[in-house]
Amino acid sequence: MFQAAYRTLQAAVAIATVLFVISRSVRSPRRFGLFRFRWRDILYGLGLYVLCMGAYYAFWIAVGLIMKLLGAGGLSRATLGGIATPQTAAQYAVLALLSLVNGAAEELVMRAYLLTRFEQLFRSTAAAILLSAALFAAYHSYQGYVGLVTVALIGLIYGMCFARWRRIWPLILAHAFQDFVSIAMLALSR
Amino acid sequence: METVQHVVGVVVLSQRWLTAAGAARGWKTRRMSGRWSSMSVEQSPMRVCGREEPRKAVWVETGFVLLACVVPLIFVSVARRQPAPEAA
Repeated sequence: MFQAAYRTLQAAVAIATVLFVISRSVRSPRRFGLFRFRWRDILYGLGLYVLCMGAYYAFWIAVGLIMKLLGAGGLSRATLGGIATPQTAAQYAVLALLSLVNGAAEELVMRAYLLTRFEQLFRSTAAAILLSAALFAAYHSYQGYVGLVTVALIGLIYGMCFARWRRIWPLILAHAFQDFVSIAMLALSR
Repeated sequence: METVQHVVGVVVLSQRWLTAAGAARGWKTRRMSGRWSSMSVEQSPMRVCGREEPRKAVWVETGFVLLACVVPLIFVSVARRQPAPEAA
């Protein structure tokens, strides 16, 4: 419970910091992808989640096949051993809330704010997407090399979708689905 | 304790960095001018001329967000990484 409260507070601080900085900008919040929520965003979020899962499986199946052809050793799984998993219905509800808050914090910082600013500073959308995906992967390095590459891949897809849609809600929802399903599956597999 | 340090760190950093970002934008602050600026953001020459924000201000502000929100997470992530099992 303490871990959940600590992570929620951390996410809330990040959300407050970015919203405060955006509110000070002469640019409209819409330039940072901050639009009012639409129900359609849930569909976009689900679609993005499915796309990421498809890319994840396609990428690692391809890597596995190449390694098999080359006679290299197998891949180690992502390290998620230190993550507390839910047991009761109430804990699953907390996990859902935590996933949403964490998704909002990470997407607001990495895509809404940093990707937009990197684009402005480097005058290149591709460079902005690459840099934000690299930073996104860097703070997931505790998941090991497999986790690092997977998160970088997901970061690239999220960045490309943000550059295309310019709306943050679908990304927040896709990220929340991703976190919730991964941890719920981890709990069920234990 | 760690949480309190994080929150205090962000508040202190935001005070310093955002003052620097504001100064780079050309806004007067209470510390610099001794009173609140008489010019609102909407009235500032940058807004009237329809120009973009000065790059220096954007660099400072982006640096602040990186330091406050991303760099601590990278350090925590590296610290959390489980060490590789020692060779037998």
